[in-house]
Amino acid sequence: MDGGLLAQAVLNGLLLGGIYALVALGFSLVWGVMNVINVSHGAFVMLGAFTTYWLFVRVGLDPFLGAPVAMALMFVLGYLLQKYVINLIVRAPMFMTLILTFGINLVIVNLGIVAWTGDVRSITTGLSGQGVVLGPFVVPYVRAATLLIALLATTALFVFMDRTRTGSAIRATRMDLLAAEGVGIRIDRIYALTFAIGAALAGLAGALISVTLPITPFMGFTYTGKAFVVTALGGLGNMAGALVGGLVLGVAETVGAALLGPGYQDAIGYALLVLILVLRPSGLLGRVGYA
Amino acid sequence: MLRRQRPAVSPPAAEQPDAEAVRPPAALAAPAPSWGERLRAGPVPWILAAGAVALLLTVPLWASGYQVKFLTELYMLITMAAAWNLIGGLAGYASFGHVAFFGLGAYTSALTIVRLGWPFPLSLLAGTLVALGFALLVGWPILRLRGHYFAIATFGLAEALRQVAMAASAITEGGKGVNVPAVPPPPVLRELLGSSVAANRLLFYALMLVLLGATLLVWRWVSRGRLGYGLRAIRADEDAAATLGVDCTRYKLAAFALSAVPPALAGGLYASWINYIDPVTVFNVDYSVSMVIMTLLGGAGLLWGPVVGGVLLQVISETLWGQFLELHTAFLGTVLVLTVLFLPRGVLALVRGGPRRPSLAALRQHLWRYSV
Amino acid sequence: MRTRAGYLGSGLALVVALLLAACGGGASAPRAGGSSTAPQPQGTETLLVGAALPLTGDLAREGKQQKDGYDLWAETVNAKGGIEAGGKRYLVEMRYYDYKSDNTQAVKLVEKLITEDRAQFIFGPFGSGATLAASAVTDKYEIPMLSPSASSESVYQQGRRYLFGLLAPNAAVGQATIDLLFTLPTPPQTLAIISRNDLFPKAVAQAIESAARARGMETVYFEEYPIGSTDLSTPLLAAKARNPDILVGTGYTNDLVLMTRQMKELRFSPKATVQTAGPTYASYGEALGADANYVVSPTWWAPGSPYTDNGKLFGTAADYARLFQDKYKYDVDYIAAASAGCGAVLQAAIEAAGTTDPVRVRDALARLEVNTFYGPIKFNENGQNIGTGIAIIQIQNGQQIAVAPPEAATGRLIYPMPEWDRR
Repeated sequence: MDGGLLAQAVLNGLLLGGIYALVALGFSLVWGVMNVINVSHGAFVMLGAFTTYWLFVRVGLDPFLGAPVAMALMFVLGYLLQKYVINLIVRAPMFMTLILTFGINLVIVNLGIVAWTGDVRSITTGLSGQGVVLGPFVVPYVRAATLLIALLATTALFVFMDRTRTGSAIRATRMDLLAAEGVGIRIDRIYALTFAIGAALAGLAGALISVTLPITPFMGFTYTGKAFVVTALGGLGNMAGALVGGLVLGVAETVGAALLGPGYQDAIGYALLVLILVLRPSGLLGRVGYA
Repeated sequence: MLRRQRPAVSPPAAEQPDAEAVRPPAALAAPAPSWGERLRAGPVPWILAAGAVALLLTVPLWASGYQVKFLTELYMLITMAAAWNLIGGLAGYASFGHVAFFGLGAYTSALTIVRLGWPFPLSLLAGTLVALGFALLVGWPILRLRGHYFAIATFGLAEALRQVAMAASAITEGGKGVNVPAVPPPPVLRELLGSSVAANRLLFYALMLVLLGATLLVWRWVSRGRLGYGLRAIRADEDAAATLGVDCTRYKLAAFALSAVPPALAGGLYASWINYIDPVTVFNVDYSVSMVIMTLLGGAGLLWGPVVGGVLLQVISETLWGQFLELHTAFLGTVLVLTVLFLPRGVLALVRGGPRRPSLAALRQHLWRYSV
Repeated sequence: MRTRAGYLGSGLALVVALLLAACGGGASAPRAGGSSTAPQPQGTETLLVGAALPLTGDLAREGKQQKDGYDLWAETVNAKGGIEAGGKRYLVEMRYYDYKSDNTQAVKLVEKLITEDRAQFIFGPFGSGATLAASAVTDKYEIPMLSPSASSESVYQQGRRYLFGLLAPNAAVGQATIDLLFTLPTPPQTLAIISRNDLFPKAVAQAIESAARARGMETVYFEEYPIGSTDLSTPLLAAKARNPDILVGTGYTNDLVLMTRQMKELRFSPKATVQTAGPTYASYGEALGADANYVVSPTWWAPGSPYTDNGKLFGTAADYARLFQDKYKYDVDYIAAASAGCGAVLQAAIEAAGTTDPVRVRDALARLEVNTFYGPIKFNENGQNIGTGIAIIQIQNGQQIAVAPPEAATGRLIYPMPEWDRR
């Protein structure tokens, strides 16, 4: 394995990691604030991808303009789902919410297949596959944009949590539910809002995936799995954690595949996950949290 | 997001000390005997139990091939759920990767038969030992993790094993899968039933049933012994249990290793029963999820929880799937959602504790116990 | 202690009651799907054919295609008065169950079709793995199973007597592909192979490799990627570094869409890209647009294939494609064609046997030689069809152009394909 190839593998890993980071951002937020492992997160990614896809095919809307629409739709759907369904058992032991979201996932995916068939789709615009050539390296525009958007989204979320009253309320709820309630925070609304933000971020990730990768109604499971790994890698409930975890996973996968053979590409991620958990259970970034 | 004052919520139920955990077994017999108690204390239950076992054993003699297959698979799923109930139900450590042991059992058994020509029973033993060894090896580090971290670590391990089974083609045939030859049924059975098809069907039906029975008995034995009380103490409050002198690591490891055995045996049986395995099928995360769902649906930490949950889940999904060809997973999902919302402690929680006077307040408290 | 036993006894009794209810319930549950038969005219009987299909889950799309193919056959044959054998007329009834893309369920449901629904014949589930698993059951009950979607030789080498597959063996795919490349003025010297680690894609990849080796071509790279991969950049880069003349990619549609997209991203331009199985699906071209151009794909059947049943059932391959398109509003490809082909073959075997007795129909299948819209059928000793040849298409200007065999070709192979930045 020569150096040039390895360098390109690292670059590809970072670009892939941008997608993983964006997928994991909302997942990590929901998990961190509410202690809910949202197995249906991947289904929201799928819905975001299909919203963008249909806007492109039917209305001709550019996927980068379709992304905000997908986010808005997912925000509303997420808010309603949390407010009227998940909130009912949100304080139950963790595996109950897991089964609840597993059930929600089954419903969404099945309806997706019925509505859109199992066909593989992808958005191909003039930009697809195009990129800038820098010496021996190729940087595809769309993947670079995804990485950039992942950075922006992480920063925006950080500012929102740090600088706004609502953000403070979310952080307070996360740290101490009873105290937060005591000072008059409406927990149910905070939870609904948090889940809605998580769903909107999933919608954004889906929108960008639809331009880069093939999409199907059952694509979500793969991304939920990646979100799991990224969240554990970066550290639970840590906003920078999703970004760092995503990039680390992306690079580990591509470089690992280059060194061990592509057959082990997906095994590497999970092996890394177990290793990190055992050696450093709080993730790479430690216990910083939303505080 | 500020608002007017509302009554403070009670602390999350997950953190409430588990009433059951500390209740001595004698408490079960404490209430004054009702007619029901007297009936249950008489010979009736024994007759019922004996009749039930006898009836179950005769199923392959009169049921259709499909019904026997349905039940064999059901026993397999319940066996795995009951094994999960040791670590997930008693100790409260929710493993989401228990399919790892099923897959290890299936692959070890299949490969020792195909590549080394080992006899079927010996291959089952090999599968069990490999799974047990793996459980002890990984159990020690990952059982130090709690809650979510334990859940994702187990999930990650199972996924990693699936990927390795796929990638290590030289040994496992990778995604091509392994063809496992049919086990020749004992000659006695063949003569009794007239055909080797029927004999084979009965053989695996009986083996799965025996495995299920054995798993339940082991669970009951663990649950009522020292180990069981230690595990319940760990579930209620691990730090407190440690202070009281419970050797948490050893207890958890014992429960984890023990819970790896039935899935490994089920996996070994599965390989020779279906005659074909591949990584996607035997490391399918759906098996891990079904263990959790069946146990919770019935009632975690209860002997009959996985059994009742498993039967209900399979009957529901079977019925739905007969009714709605292309929408049945959506309906299954809806059933799961409704169950979790309205029966968060499992079906058996409704039955246990005897009849209570129904009141709207009690119902509301039951339904909204976990809400915000 | 006795109270405990009480719980035990009552629990067990409850469970048994539920189980027995489940058994009864399962048997009396309404039939799932299937084309309904019209009120039967005098003197006709019903022939029940069953299939377990992946109607939900990852393979929902393939399952739907098979179902549409099976249904189209059943409707067509019933409209023509049914199957005639031994002086009786049989109207076909199809019955389906969904196995959720899970092989264990496929096995269970095939058993249900045979033992409960009393299906007299079985049509295959999707893919080599599920077919292999299900064929253990059909052999056990001595019920013929016709598969439209399993092409890997290993499936047929297990000594199953009741399994018959319409798709030509993978070796034929490898042979046809390499033969086509060697009709070029300057044949390629080297190839790189990137294969999905799965029964069928791996078998095709190996078939192409061995056909290439026989012609003296050198395989400079051969790697497998895992099922469900979201990134193929590493194997593509490694292959690119070895500068092969040909890149062979095997997998399913989503894998191959990803592969082509990433080839463009990485500016990987071999002289030809051969992919299977995906480019023959309309969705492949729709997903990739112009980027799908120049991809070459061997396929088992194409609407332009020069086959006909001489007006007996569907007519020519093109007639079938038109009928299918009119009814289901999407383009037909080889899976949907082979599915209806299974029906045509079963019908021919029943007529030849003069009975619907499964064992005698099985013997008729083994001896069968018949022309259908799907192609000439002749099964080898393993039950795999060796009568029908392989077609090869290349996507040119968004159209699938047949480039081989010569008698069916509608265009010429464009080789070498233009590099990505010269398109």
